Amino acid sequence: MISLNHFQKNYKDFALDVSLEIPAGRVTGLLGRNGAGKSTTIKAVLGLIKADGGVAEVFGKNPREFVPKDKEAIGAALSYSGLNEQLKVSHIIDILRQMYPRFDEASFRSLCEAQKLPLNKAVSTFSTGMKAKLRVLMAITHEAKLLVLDEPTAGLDVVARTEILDLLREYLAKDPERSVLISSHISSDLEGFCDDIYLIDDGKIVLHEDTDTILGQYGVLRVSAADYEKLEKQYILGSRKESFGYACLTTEKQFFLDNYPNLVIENGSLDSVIIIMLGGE
Amino acid sequence: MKGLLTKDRYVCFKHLSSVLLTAVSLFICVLLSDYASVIDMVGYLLALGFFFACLSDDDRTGYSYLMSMPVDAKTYVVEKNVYAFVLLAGFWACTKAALGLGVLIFGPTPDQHMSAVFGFNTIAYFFAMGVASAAVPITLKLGATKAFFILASIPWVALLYSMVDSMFVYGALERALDFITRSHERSPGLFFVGCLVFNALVVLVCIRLGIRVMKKKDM
Repeated sequence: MISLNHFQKNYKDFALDVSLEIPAGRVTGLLGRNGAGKSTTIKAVLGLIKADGGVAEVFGKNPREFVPKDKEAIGAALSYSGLNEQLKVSHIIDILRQMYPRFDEASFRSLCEAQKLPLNKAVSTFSTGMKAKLRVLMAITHEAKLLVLDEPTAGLDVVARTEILDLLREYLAKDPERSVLISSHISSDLEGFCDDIYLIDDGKIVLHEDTDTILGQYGVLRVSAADYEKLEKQYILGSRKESFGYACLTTEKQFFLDNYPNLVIENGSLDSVIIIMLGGE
Repeated sequence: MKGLLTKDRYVCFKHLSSVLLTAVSLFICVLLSDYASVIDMVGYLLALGFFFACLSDDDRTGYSYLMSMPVDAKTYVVEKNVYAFVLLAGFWACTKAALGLGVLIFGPTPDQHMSAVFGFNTIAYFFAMGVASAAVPITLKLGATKAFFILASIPWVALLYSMVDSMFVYGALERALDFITRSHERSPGLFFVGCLVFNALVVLVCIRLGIRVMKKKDM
């Protein structure tokens, strides 16, 4: 459904060079620090930026060449751009009805009611969480095959974040062919939601793995400096110097459990992947 | 395009810039004594003000979301032109109605003046369409301040253009028509068609340029 093959974009102080594949029916997370290139990658997928090199394809077509009909199959929620906040939700309903032939107005209205979003108040009067929910509702109520969400949960409390992820789960449950590309710097949001994760840093993908593999097979070894020297490094993905010695990320937790029974080995998590891959050596 | 027009319709009433332009227009009303010119000017500035409100809104809220919707560069630029046309034509009709009312109250306006007012409006609404297509793409990625100055200059550039148009282009057009018809008996209909064709060409060139620039720009 989405294919970026060495998509490159060069700015004065930042260069993006990413490759990623997202098949139909897959929920993919794009995880990274602020300024790592998540939003630029999202823009590449939506055809909002022109490639300086490489290829971008969405539904088998360059997104820069999309006609309005192609874009009807995409639902986007961007944290930095949207409709004027002086508009009321009732105005937005009129706009969406005319923009998207498959806009499900009844569903949108009932979801607004369920999420307690008033139809006749300006969006500017909404809380941050309400605005974020509205953005997601605008993306999921026109039968889009692909959702592209840029930091949909940024700045929200844990309750609002959970509610947004629940909305997305409901959307996905309706059709197994639907795909989602979601970016976030909050790893816990992606951990329970995504099938696979791309970790991006400084404009480059530094890790791509199934979430289940990270949670099941990855592990973190806590070792002293002396033990670190003796470790078999071929299974170590990255390490980070800490006060007691080293924290090492391994893709073969079972190997170390079997062969190093005295080591402290913790289960892998997205947080540990981020901390060691982005903050380590 | 229908959705974009609806968005612009809602958005244009949400900006103070239109109100500001109305205030400026009313101030000019006080300064000028010729009611016909005043009414004409108010309609023209209001139309451009509303149009400016929509452009600056797109600039402020970001084109990215709009372009992620079923909108492409061509739809966007053409919609802005259609919108400018609808606004200016609407205000033109309103100003003509107001002028008619003025004639009833204050007595007849000289024919020559009415003709000039009519020409001014024709130029104005065609030109604003062209300006729309040219201004939209160049404001992308310029930063808020530069974009604001470019957008804010539209009404004044439009006025300047219409003055240049009436001083040079229409004079040349008149002379060309004289030459072609080999007569100094000018047909007002032919002259009007000539004006329309010339301005329509300006608009078409701007639309083509606008779409081309917009396709190349990053959002």
